[in-house]
Amino acid sequence: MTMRTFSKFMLLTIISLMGAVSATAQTGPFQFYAIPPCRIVDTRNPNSTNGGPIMGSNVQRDFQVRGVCGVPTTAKAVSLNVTVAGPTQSSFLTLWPSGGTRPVVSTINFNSTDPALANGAIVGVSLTTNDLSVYNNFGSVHVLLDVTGYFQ
Amino acid sequence: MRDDDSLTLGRYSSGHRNLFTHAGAKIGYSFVLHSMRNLNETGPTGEDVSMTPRMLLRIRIAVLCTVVALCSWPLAAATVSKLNDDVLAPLRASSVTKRILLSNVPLYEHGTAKIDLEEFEVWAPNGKVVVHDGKSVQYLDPPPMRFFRGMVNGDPESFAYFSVDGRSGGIYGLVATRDGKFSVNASRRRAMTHDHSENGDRGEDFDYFLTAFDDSDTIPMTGQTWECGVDKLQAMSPINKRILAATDALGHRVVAQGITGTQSFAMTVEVETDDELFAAAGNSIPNVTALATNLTGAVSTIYNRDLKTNVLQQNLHVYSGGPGMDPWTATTAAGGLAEIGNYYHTNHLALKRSAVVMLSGKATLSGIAWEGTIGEGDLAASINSVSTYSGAYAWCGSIGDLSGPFTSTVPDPNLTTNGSLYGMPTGGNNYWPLEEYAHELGHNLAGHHTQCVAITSGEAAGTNHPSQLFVDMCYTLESEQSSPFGACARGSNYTSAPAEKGTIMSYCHNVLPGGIPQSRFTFGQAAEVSHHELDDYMLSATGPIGPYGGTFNIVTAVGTFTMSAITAASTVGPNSVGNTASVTTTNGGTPTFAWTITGGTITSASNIASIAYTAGASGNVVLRATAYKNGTNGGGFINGAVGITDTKSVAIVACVAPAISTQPQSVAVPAGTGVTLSVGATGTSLTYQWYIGTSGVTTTPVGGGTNASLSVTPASTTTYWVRVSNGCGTADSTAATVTVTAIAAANFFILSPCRVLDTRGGTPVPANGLMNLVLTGKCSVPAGATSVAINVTVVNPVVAGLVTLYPGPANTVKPLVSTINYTVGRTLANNARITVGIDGSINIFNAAGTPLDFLIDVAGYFK
Repeated sequence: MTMRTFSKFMLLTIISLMGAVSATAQTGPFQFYAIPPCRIVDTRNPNSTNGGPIMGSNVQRDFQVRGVCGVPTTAKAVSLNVTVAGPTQSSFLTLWPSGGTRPVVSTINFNSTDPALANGAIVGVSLTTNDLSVYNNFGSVHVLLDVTGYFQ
Repeated sequence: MRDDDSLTLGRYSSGHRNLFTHAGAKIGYSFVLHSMRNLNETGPTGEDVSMTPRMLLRIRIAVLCTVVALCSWPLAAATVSKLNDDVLAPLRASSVTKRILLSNVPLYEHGTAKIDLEEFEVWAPNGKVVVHDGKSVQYLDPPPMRFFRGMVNGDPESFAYFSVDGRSGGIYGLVATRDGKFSVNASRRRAMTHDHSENGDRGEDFDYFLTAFDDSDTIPMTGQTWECGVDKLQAMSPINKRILAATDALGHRVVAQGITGTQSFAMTVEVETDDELFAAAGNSIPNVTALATNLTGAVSTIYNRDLKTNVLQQNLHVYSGGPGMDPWTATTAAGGLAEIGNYYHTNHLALKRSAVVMLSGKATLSGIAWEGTIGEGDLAASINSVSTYSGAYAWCGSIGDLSGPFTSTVPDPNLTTNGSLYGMPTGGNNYWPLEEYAHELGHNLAGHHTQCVAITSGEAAGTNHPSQLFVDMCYTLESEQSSPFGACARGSNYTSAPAEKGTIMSYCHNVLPGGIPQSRFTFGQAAEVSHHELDDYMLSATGPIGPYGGTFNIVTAVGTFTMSAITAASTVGPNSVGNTASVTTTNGGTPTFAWTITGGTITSASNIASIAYTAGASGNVVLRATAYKNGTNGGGFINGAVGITDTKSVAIVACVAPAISTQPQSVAVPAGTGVTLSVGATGTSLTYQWYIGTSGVTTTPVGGGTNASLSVTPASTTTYWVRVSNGCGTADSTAATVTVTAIAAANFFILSPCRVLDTRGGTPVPANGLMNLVLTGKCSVPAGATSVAINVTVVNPVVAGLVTLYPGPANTVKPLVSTINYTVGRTLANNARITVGIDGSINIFNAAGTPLDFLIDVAGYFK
């Protein structure tokens, strides 16, 4: 019991030192709100917060999810489908709540031969204006995010 | 065997073609003006030196075939075959589109051709048939003819011209390919009554014939001589052949920058006839009108193809008073040309036109025209020592001379055999009128005889020699270059000239006997000199001041001038008023419009883009719109650069009041979800307007809600209804309520994984189609579940595509999202949480051209 308490304490300390909130710090339980499917990000569109340009190599972009497509600003996480289109190299994307260090995880892996590929995910969102970060490892690729619900 | 889409018609050897193809053809070079000056200023007699270029022009006349006595005429050996009526049916369709493709036209022994046609206009706006009966002058509207022009697919040298007679429905056409010439003519199955009404005759009353001509159908002129200019008419120094100054790297002569793809021209032609032609045409005003109009239409087709020039017929003068009751008394071509110049100087000095063409029925066996005079209406000159006025005049003899050597049958709609109706030739000799019209008008445009235009160096100006190449590759020996035609080329050694090098402006291909039998309706291949000679002239002639200082009634259009199809309701009520029809144009500046109507009455102005009309009692209203681009020079004269035409048929249908057959249905959806409401209704020419609120209360119309279906995404619960209307009533639907449900908080419930859909062995998700799947009650998903956690799998797709899952019911508007993308042959899965519709269903849309096997496995639900 002591060890568990200690480790929880240590974790919170680390987070406060970083001065940011990460997904691992968020707590529940949260309830799910189903919404009509809605395209929230499409980098094939003209350049904008949730539009172009295409994701380049070793590039991170921060998108705005809360307040768009019926996702309220109080949402803590979203249910979404991430689609990659026209990748120039085999690569992976990482999705995580904005503001924190990029975690060593992958949300979707794809080959340069995939014209388009999708994966479903549940990802936390932060309290910053642009609340969802996406990282592309190699090459350039278009990213599409379609939300189907949120947690709060 | 030749495929009809890739006809190989060429007779060219590559060697010949190379001779006439020059690199870097697009050089700027004012060929016409300077070379003509230079040629004459260095003439052998020196008499020309004191003359201005304008004066020099006045003496430039060309004669086509001058020696009568030695001409002889064999019988035509044309092949006539019955033409399947289906081939021409598209031209007769009640609602013809602007572009028509005639298929399976049997032009070839072992294959058929496709002919690509566009509708165009032959008459200039406000053009009239001016009938002079010796006592009075009548101004008649042009006949209700429709005109089509185009080419045989795969043959860039071809041309095709068709007209449809609006009174009789008869179709007449002329097709020339690189290999042959064909006419299409109609013969009546029964005698025509004289009181033919607008609707009294149909195309079905005709049999159609295709006449193919072979080499023996040309006009042979045994022993004929020919010349390059008209100098013999002048007591002046001869104007000899032209030699082009510039050469390319290979030493070939090059000319002209050419007319670019974005430029086009138009010229309006005043057409004169005489009482001899009227008599030859059976003393029939419609016959003369149809003959002249079809000739102008065929000339315009050729000129449009080669020179991007539309030839518009302005006024057509018909002399119906009988022998001696026209103003034309001359008995020779040269005399006729002088006469018409004087007549127009006296009577029509102010009449704006690009040229005047006389189609004479006199058996004079020749045509004659002033050269390089387009738009020049009144130049004083002297011919044969008689002071006359010259200008843009062309005189064409032996048109409709039934007994003379250039026999050309004049149209007679009452013919019941395979006749030559409305000017479409059925025998080789009958090409004479078209050949002559195109040739003489070509002189007005500064076109020289092509046997007199040299394209390689080697000889000095004034002689003609085998060592020098000419456009049509005709030449004569120096020993033959003597009196009476001076140093101009003439003689008998033309037989080595290849048939395919013939042009409209060639003597030896058009009228000479023996080895060169092909008359050819072309100004030459685009790369060849005769074409570019005229191109240069056209380009230089269209400025504010032409090359000779004149004001040119000829228009350049920069940019492609287009007109839309007619926009009008497809049906109207009997005697209904206030019907509208409109067209739009591009690159037209301020165009002029001309509308005609049958089966109704135009109640607005008819020279505007949008008209109003009243329908007749029954049948069809046929609307015809033509747009003309207005000239930017020529003193404001309306001479359309392009006359573009469209025709639309509107059925007159008795009005049936609207009635609702299927009411719009109420539906419930989650917030943010779109739905489509629809209504079914019966009645004629229905229009729709959707409203919000109680049925019958029209205070809140839905913007854009004017179709049978309405797609909306209301923010809150809203009631809709639709009013269906037409000219004789309205019908209101019942109201349908779109209930918007709030998004509820839901907890997650885990299920044992369960396959809720497997289309393998059953019905796949359709290609580019929708499958609606009710989930509640299956795999333990309860009613009231707001979303499901699922895994979706595409099984061995045949094509690439994507699937979109979204909440039901089936009429929910599909959102622009995707759930899984797939590629060929790759079975692939994805996980998703999909919102469930109020009715417990989801929609599965497959965006691909092939049906898809699809699996859905449920892992849990939210409620």
